[in-house]
Formats: sequence, structure tokens, C-alpha cells
Amino acid sequence: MMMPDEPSESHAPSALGYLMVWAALVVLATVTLFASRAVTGDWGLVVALTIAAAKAALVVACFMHLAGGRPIHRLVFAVAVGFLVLLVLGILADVGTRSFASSYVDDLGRAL
Amino acid sequence: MPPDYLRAEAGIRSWLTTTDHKRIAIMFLVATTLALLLGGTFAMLLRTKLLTPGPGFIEPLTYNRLFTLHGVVMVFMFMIPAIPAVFGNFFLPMMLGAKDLAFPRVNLASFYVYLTGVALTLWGLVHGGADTGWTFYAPYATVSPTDVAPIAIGVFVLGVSSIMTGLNFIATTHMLRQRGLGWHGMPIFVWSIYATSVIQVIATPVLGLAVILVALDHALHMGMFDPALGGDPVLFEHLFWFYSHPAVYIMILPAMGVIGEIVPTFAKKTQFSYRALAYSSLGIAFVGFLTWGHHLFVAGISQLDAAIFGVMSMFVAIFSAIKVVTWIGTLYRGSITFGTPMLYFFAFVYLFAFGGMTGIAVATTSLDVHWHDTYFVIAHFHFIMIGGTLTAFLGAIHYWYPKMFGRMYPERWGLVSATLVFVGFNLTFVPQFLLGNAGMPRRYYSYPVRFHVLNVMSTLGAYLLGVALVLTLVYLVVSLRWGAPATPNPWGSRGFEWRSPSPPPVHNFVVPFDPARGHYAYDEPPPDVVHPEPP
Amino acid sequence: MIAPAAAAADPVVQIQYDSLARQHATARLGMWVFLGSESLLFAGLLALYAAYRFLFSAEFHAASAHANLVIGTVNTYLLLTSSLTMALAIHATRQGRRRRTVLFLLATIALGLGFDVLKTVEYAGHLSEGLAPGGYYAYEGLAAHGVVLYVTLYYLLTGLHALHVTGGLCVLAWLAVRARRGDFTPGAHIALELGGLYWHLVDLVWIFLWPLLYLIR
Repeated sequence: MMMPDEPSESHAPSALGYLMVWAALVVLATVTLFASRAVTGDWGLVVALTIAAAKAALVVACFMHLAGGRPIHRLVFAVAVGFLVLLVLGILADVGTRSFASSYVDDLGRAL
Repeated sequence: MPPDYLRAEAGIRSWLTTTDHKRIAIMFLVATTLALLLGGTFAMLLRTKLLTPGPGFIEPLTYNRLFTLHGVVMVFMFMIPAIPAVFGNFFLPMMLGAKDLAFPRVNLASFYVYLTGVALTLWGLVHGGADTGWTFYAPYATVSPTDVAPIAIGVFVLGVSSIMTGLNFIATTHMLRQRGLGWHGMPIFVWSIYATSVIQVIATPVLGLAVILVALDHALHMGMFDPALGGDPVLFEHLFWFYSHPAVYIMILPAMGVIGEIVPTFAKKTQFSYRALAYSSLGIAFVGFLTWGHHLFVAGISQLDAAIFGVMSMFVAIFSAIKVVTWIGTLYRGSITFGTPMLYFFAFVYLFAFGGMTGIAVATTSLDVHWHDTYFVIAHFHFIMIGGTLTAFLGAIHYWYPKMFGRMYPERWGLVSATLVFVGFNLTFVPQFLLGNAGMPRRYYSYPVRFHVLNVMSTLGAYLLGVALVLTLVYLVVSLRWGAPATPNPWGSRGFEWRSPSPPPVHNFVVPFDPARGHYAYDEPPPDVVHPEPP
Repeated sequence: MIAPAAAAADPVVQIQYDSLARQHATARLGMWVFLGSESLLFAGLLALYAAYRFLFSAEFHAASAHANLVIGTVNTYLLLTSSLTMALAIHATRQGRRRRTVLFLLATIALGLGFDVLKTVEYAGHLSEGLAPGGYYAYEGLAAHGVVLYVTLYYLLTGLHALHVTGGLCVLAWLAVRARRGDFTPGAHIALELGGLYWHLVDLVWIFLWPLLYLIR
């Protein structure tokens, strides 16, 4: 992975580009607000997190130059996100399955 | 002749403000050795108490504090940092043909952060000290009458040092390789340190959070893990082991890297399969993250979760087995010499294989139900930590001693103490497998009389092991001043780090080595060493 | 404002690097690794949040109604805008515009300070009502376990985040001083880039905290 020395800013957006990203972020944040009223419960969480992911993608790709930057940066970011997801899922896999797959149950059949 | 790195600048101040990775490595060597001695002292006290089944010369609360501190000191002040911060620091740049690490000031800072963590932990020790075990399990850790917070915060700070080291090594490996040195020309030690560093930067923050939460729970009743406030203590264990299981790979991967250097040198033969060794390090690092739940088998997690983690835990063995096969395969038809480093390799491969197999055993849920929290588990992880990591650490210090200090250690004493270490270790820990299997719980102050004989054996073994280690320390220190002067390459290794003078000059090499002459090219004669021009 | 002041020393290439470009590229990689590591710090709290929200879904819902949606939302817009001003500060440096760089940095600091001030106001408001973490919780209207856990997680998550914001503000202030001194040239402004990356991470974390804590319906 011997990358040639290149300025990382060669693909940096213009000031207008940054402004447009910001506008998109503001729009998405506003959409999140209204969506949270419209879609409630579990689906509300899915929608809110999806929009948050889209905003995050914009910040990471455009403000942090992950798009058009060096591939190793993308790998580092992906690995970190991957392990974050692993930790959350690993814990949820326990907590979420105790109710039906636990050997510790009280006399009312509820998981302990 | 221009002075080497040890003599280039004199005075304490030049050492304390150095950014030379080799000097920082030496400072870490001193610090981690002192930590080993401290943790070992705690162990000797514990084992001495266990000579008698009933009350002994220390109080039960003191006993609990001792095993807590033994764990904390050994794990966080020795096992995790030792091989990376000493040999990684010293040899990673040299093995890449670099003049230093990517971030030398971060390197120096990591040493001071380490010292700060040590200071905090020792302060906690003096001020009563926690009695929770090094694992700080909730809910006891949140209600213990002892002072948990200082030690927990000390561990957090030590973790920061670990992350700094890992970050530095990752950047160095990617960006400071010499021209002509690709990833597949790098020494195996570098691959191992790199895989270790990835674990360090990813896993350690989770531990940091976990111990801070315990400290907050204890000091400020945050209630994250307190059932009385709705918290679930098992969640602490999830966070703790998400780090602490990969942490054992932080401890063993560098050790395996050392072995990967010693074996070709002492067999005068190239690796049986370079790629198998290189990639298996990454494999261990990755799969190691998928297995933490096997520490929670009887904690109350769901059976489905336990089953998943049990299956995932089996996969790590594949990569470890690949490594063992490769090392043995390297020996086959090699021209083997039996120096002290090689003796440590033989001890390593035997003890690691046994320890690893018992690891697979305890990772089997149905068996772990009986062995969990018994001496069986203690024996298992000491087989890996002492039989694996410490053995490799000792192998490394003997292997690289001439390069680091320009002197040779006395080979006969090396053979004697290596043998004593091996015998002492087995005498200490084989009885503990038997004790655990017979049902003796860990962390217990007293035990039924029927366990007496095995406990006495174990303690005598511990004394022997302690003597052997002190003996090793003595001759290594004495040899610093009175050892025979070493040539640049006493082992005839083809390795890159051996192409510099012993000890190396400040910027490692006088002229860059030629990576086309490979690090394991034993079908070629040893490369020449270029010495600095006399002024 | 065009040329950087001559008082700034030429950037030093450290001995282990053969070029300034490589040194800067390495610094960028190091920063990304650091950011990855910091993400894992929040990961633990997010995992706890996920577990407790799963176990106490209704209580989290009820408790979230007491979050200060106005402050939370304003803070979101403040941070999003601060990311813009940060990016524009670096953009200005690439164009050699020293004064504009300083102005955008100051704007970023102001927005971040605004975030911290509002956060303090928010905390004070909650605490005066008894919405305190863990054993200090004293809000009579809502006393279930799940509620207390939500409130504690709220303080832990936003507290850890606010610590990062405050640390970031210190770094930005120092960068502003350096920018004013003329330390940054169009071709060499690595400290500014690294500070920018860190600041965007701070924004990134809040992008997720806001819906998770304030928008549970």
C-alpha cells in the first residue's frame, strides 16, 4: 500500500459545494423532526436512524473528505463502524433472546 | 566511531525527554519488568497463604485485595504492554527500515501516560485497594466497601497508553516502510504487532468506558449496572469482555510474532509458509472479537447467545493451529541450534498448545458450567499468559539482547534458568488443573483439606518459578556491564534488524538495507553490516 | 488577506520522513485511526442504550417526552453549521486567506460554545426538576426503573459528547491563534485538517444522539 504522495485536497469541494452539503443536512434534520411525529414506535426509530445515517454519510464523505480521499481512510472508518455494530448486536443478541431462550426463568415463565 | 543510541547523549534528562524509539523501549523494559516483579510478589504472597487450607498469615480482605492487584498489575502493566512497548518499539522501525516511529512524541507521551496509570493504580493500592478481582464485576464492584475508583481510573489511563502505542504502530507500518519493502516482505513480527495494534485501538476504548462506568457507579451511584435501579449487571460483563477477550490476543499475538522470528533464525531456514503466519495473525485478531460471550456462559445470558459464542470460540483455534503447524514445519529439515531463545520456543510451543487446548475445553459451554470460576480456568490462562506470553518475552529478551545492548548474556545460565522456569511453571500450574477439575473455586481464601497436597505442590512450584525469574533478571542485568561484547549478528540471522551494528546507531542504519535480500533468506549468506564511519 | 506572515517557520520534516507530504499523509492516517478509536468509546454507551431501550421500551418513550426538544434541536443545527464553518475555514486556508480562516474558526468556536451553553442551561433545568442520574433521581412524576436508566444514559451520552465538544473548542482556539500567527499555508496546514476531522466527528456523534435521545415517539 505505498501510495504516491498526493495532496489530499485535490478533490476537495468548493465553498459552494460545502454550502450545498450543509443545506442538505439542515433539510434532513428538519425532515427528521417531522418524521418523528409522523412515524412512531419501532418504525420511527428505523426512519430516524436511516436519516441520521444519511446525514452522517454526507458529513463523512464531503466534510471529512472520505470520498475522493485515500482508500485506507475508508477502511479504517469501515472497520470502526463494523466493530461498533458488532458490540451493539452482540449485546442485543443476548438481551433480545432471553425471553424465549433462557434457562433462567421464574415461575411465571418470565426470563430472569 | 560515532556512539550508538545508548551512548549518543548522556544524562537522565536526555533519556526522560528522548523521542528515540529505542530509548523509549528501554524505559518501557525497566517499567514493565518492575511491574512483573510487583505482580509476582503479590502472587508469591497469595501462594504462600494457600500453603494452609485455613486462616493464614494474611487477612481474608487483604487476600482479596492481593488477587485483585495481582491481576490488575500483571494484565495491564505487564502482559498488555510488555512485548509491544518494548520489542515493538525497538524493532518495528528497524524491521521496516525506518529511522523512528510515525509519531515519536506520541511514543514518549505514551510512556508517561503509562507511568501515570501505574501511579494511580499504586495509589489505589496503598489507599486500601479494591477487592473485586481484576474483572470489577458488577454488582459487587459498585457496592464494595473498598476504594474501587482509583484503580479503575488507573486502568483507564493505562488503556489510553495502549491505544497511543497501537495507533503509532499502525501508522508506522502503513507509511514508513522503506522503498522496496512491500507488505509481503515485512517480518512476521511486524504482522503480529500490526494485528495487535488494531485490537488495541478498537477494543481498549470499550474497556475504558466499562471501568469508568464502574467507578461512576461506585462513587456516584449511577446505577447503570445496579439491579436495584433497574440495571443489568450482565451488561457490564458484556462491555468488559468485549475488550478483555481480544485483550488476550493483544497478549499472545506479539508473543507469536517473537516466535516467528526466533524459529527461522535458529533453524536457519525460511518460514514453512510466510503467508499462513502473516494472515493467521489478522485472522486471530478478527475472530477474537467474536467470542467474548464465552466468559458469560453462566452469568445469565440467553442460551441462544451462549450457543453462538461457543461456536464462534472454536474458530480461533484454527488460526492458532495454523501457526503451530507452520513453526514445526519450519523446523523440519532445518539446521537447528539450541540456544536459550530456542529453548524458550520449545517451552512455548508445548505450553501454548496445552493451554490452547484447555481453552477450547473451557469454551465448550457444557464443560464450562463445571469449570467456570475454578482453578481450571486459572491454570488455563496462566498456561497461555506465562507459558505463552512470558516465555516468549523471555525468548525475545535473550534473542535481541545482543542487538539492544551490544553484549551477550551467559548462555549456560540462560539454559539453566530456562529449564528452571519451565519446571517451576509446570509444578505450579498442572496441579491447578487438577484442583479446578476437582472443584476448588478460584479467588477463595480457604479450601477443604483434601486439596492440601496439590496446593502445596503449586506453591513450591511458584517459589521455584520466582527464583528462576529472579535468576534470569540478575544475569541479564549483570551482563549489561560484564557480558561478552556482541558482534552485530551473533545468531547469523538474515533479519533486517541484524543488518545494523549492535547496539544500533541513533537512526538505526548507516545505509538502508536492501529489502531484495529477504528477512528470511536462508538460502543466501548473511548480509554485511555497515558500520558508521569513524569521525 | 493574502500571504501568510513570514514569522511562521517553514514546517519541519521529521527525520523519519522523506517528504513533508508523507509526514502529513501519515498524520491524517493517524487521525483517522484515532477517530475510529473514539467511536468505539461511544459504542459501549450506545450498546447499553440499545439494551435498556429494548428492555424498557415504554419507559424510554415516556421519559423522552421530558427531554428539552427545543434545546436539543437548536443544538443540532448549531453543530451542523459549525461543521460548515470548519470546512470553510480550511477552504479559506487553501486559498491563502488568513483573516477569513480566523473568522471561520471563530465562528466555529462560537457555535460550539453556544452548544455548550445551551447544554448547561438544559442540564440545569433538568436537575432543578429532579431529573438527575442514577441514585440522585428525584422526579416524582415518573419513577420507573426504565425512566431512571434513560435519564442516566442521557447524562452519560450527552456528557461524554459535551466533554468532546469542550476539548474540541480548546483545540480550535489554539488553531485560531496559530492561524492568526500565519502558521498555515495553502500547501501545509495539517494541524487545521486534523482539528477539522476531530470536529466533524463531534458533529457526527450528535447526529445520532439527537434522534436517539430526543425523538423517541
